[in-house]
Amino acid sequence: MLLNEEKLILNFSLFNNWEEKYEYLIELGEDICFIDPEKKTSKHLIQGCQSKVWLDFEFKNDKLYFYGDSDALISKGLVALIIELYSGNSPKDILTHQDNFFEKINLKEHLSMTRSNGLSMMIKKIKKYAYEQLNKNG
Amino acid sequence: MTGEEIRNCFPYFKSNKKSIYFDSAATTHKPQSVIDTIISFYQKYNSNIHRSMNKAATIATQKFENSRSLVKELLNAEHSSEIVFTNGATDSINLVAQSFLKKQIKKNDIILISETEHHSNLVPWQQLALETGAKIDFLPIRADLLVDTDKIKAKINDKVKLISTHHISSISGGKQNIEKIIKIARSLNIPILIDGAQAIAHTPIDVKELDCDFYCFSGHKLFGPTGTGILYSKSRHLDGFIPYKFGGGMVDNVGLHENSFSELPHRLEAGTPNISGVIGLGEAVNFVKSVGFSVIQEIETSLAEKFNHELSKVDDCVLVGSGPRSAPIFTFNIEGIHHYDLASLLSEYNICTRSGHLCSQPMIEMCGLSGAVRASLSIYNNEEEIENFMVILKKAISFLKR
Ligand SMILES: Cc1ncc(COP(=O)(O)O)c(C=O)c1O
Repeated sequence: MLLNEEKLILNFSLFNNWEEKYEYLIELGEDICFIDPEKKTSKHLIQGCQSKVWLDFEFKNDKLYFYGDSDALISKGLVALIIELYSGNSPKDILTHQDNFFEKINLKEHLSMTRSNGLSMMIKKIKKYAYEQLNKNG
Repeated sequence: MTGEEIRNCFPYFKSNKKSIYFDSAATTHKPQSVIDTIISFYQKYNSNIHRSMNKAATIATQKFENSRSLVKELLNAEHSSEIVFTNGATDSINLVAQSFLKKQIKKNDIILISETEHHSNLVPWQQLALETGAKIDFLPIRADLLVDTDKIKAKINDKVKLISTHHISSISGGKQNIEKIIKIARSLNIPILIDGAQAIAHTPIDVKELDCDFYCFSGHKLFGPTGTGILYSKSRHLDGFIPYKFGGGMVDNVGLHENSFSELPHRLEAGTPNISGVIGLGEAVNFVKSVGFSVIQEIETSLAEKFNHELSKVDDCVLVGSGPRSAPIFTFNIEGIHHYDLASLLSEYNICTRSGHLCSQPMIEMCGLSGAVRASLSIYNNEEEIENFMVILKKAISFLKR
């Protein structure tokens, strides 16, 4: 389990329909850990999304922290959700984390893991950052 | 047939009562007759064609070749041998690039297309240019996103070895003046390919009258199966096609070190083809014939008028290409709302549309956009769906604009 995983699963279990989930996602997006605007470059842009999604990270006290943004509301909410999920965890915990989180919160049926919505691309990027950190620090 | 009768031919709508399917430019649904034809092939006379000597194979071969005749009639081609089966419009364009143009194009020669092409009519040429050192140039485009036929000649010189453009736009639904573009190409003796992917289900095609060198389309956008497509080519070009796929079915005599290719068009159809698909495509052509293009156009014109009228009442809606439409295709954005957000919500409401760059990134960028939402209708849609769509569209907009 990642740091905030249980809390997020609990939050999502309270919603009765997709409208409520989307409203929550959009609210999450409003409080996103913003990426430094200067870093909104192609280097931090995630390829394969229908909207623009930027993602950056910081490595502090053996933990990874993520920052992001998007030009669309729902994808911004998704980035915020992913940041909530993965931030503050060790690279090892991130890499070994099983991706059934989205099934548990029942978002997977809504957000098909296709190339176009880019959710899986975001997760891949996070895992790539974690992998690089792990290898850097032996 | 009435609209209602047409809709009843499509079993999809019986199993998806709650959804609204406005994505026919991506792919159309299949009438029961097409589905039955495919099932019946596998149940009754599954066999390989042009090879095996048995009764089932004889029936299959006849039906397969009958599809060729049906497509020949649909396009009003001169001979059945001018009809090559491919696995789609993309495959057809690649065939022209690799088997026809590659052998005659040199460094600094020009392939003339437009910036408004679908990626399938852009990337095969980019690749050929990369392989041969040829260049791609672009036909001038007017404000209505169609080729400016008055300015084509300025783009033409003796380096231009092929012109390729689309018939009807997958974004705006607008129809190119291909009659004039072809005439210009013809007068200068430059071969011309027309990408008919979005035209084939909406307008009758007469390749003899058009006098184009090549015309292509995909079966799945004409109520037929996926994995089927057509390349029409004038015989005189086809004779010179150098196959780029090799194997069984395309050769007559094979020794250990050499072979002789079989007749056209078989030499361009290597390997076991998509037999059930091609037979299904023939049935799709029969279906279109039975409805008739006058009925198709009458229904689609009235759907498009209704859609346009209703959409014009939606605040802040900006259409991509607002000229006259030859297909009920509407690509739009709502100002202040990201197309991804809108499409996500529409999908939650069980509405099938497409969004993003719509496989036409250069065109979307030319319009200063990062993407858009596309609603594309067909003969099986009705006015009630348009009304429901508008209600949901407005709901989605107010959800996102809170
Ligand atoms: C104008 C146009 N050309 C080509 C294609 C490619 O068709 P296919 O993917 O069936 O090969 C499409 C499909 O969307 C299209 O709209």
